Amino acid sequence: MSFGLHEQQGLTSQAFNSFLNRLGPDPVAGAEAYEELRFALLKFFEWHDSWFPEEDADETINRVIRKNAEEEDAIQNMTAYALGVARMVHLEMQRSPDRRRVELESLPPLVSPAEEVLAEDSEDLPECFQHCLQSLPPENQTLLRRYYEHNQHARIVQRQRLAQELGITDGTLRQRTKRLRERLEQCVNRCRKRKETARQKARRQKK
Amino acid sequence: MDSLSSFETLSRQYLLGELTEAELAAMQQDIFSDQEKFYQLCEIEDRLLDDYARGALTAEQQRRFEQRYVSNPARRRRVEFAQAMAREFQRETKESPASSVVFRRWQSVWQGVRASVHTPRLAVSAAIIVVILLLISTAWLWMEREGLHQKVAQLEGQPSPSAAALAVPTSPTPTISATPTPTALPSPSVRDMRVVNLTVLALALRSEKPGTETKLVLPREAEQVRLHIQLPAQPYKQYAVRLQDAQAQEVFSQGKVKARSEKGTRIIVVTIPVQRLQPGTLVLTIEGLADNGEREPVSKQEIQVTRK
Repeated sequence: MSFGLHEQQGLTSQAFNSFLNRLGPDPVAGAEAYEELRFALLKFFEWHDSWFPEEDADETINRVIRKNAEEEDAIQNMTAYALGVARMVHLEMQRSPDRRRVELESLPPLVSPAEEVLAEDSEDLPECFQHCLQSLPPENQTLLRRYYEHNQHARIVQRQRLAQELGITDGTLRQRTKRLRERLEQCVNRCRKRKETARQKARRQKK
Repeated sequence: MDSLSSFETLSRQYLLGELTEAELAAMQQDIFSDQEKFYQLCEIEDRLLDDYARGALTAEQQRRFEQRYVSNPARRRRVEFAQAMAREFQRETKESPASSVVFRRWQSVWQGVRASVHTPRLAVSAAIIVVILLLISTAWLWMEREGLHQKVAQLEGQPSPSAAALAVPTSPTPTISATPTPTALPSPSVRDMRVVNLTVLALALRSEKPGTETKLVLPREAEQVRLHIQLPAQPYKQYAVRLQDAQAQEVFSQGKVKARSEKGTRIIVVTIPVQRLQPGTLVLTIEGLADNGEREPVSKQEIQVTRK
């Protein structure tokens, strides 16, 4: 969680802290609830075909923080209110889908052809995937491998067997692998972004 | 894709943009007021991505999925990640997608019977019908098996006409042929499997001459293409395989494919879901992975894909 982004949007730290206080009884609980809310909004925008889900999620949170700062008791249910604001942001995005294209056009033109950029980007994936997979403890690598190795009905049987071997319920196994998958996906995304940034930097220097 | 709960069905419709405005609003309310449902939906999305990556969606679902996911950069990254997972974790098992189709068909038939049988009298009648059907099908399968054995015996003595019809090399050097999965022939249930599951064997890719082209004709029922790539004499233990379309967009790639020996020849085998192979020209690139981790070119050639 970072206040920096919200500060850029003209929000005060007082408004931000007041928002966190509404989310949880103490700073830690408030911060956790903030992350959960942001994740839920991120998914909302992803599921509703947003091209910039992170920006839309942050815009939604900014509006909620502002509202909360203006009238502290106006929001009874923070999640429901945030969902309402998210719908508004989504509608605005649908009405003016071009609003961010201007920003893209103002970016410096790419030195390399687009095909080359795309090819490099997709080449990052196998490397990043292997790097991130190898960075997991061996037992977690094995768990993921066994959880996902089969197709169709064999997968169900395999997962039941795996849960029995580990002495845990199917639900616990599902949760454990879900967290591992998320960790792996986040690592891969960060790695791809790093490589992409490094390439852009190298291109600019070359220019 | 296994039989789905009603929430999973609804969630998949939500993710694929198939709900009406009213259903959409209700779903949003539901998932944002119930945290457990929200996380369930996240899991369902993962399963949907996995099903796509493994080629387990129906043609219609696949079309809807591509409309929603592949065109959006943020979502496309998720698809690419799921594809990387499938490539890494999905091992080659004896289980074929086709056998699962057969399994699903029987499952749905059984569910239908179970749902319709509410009274004991109906249950007895249904049981008698099932026994009679089983007897008839056993006799039919036995006859089919005998017929298949005769056909196999005939085919072993002559070149396969289906291979010639399905894949036509335009140059004498590389040969590519399509045959059913070898394990699919002897079993009685294979008749169904052959309809939906096809293995394509690329027996040799010796030439590196530019302009060399191989034709691959895909039957409508095919679900997967298995490329057996015969390698020229190279010192590499592992290879990277990449398929790109005419616009140089990658349609398939697999790194670290281990070479193995088969009848005195070194080969690598990759399995590609058919939906990734759109009609047109594809460029197949093979690179060897050197010990220092660098990739070195081994071969490059065009494959013309058409659908029957």
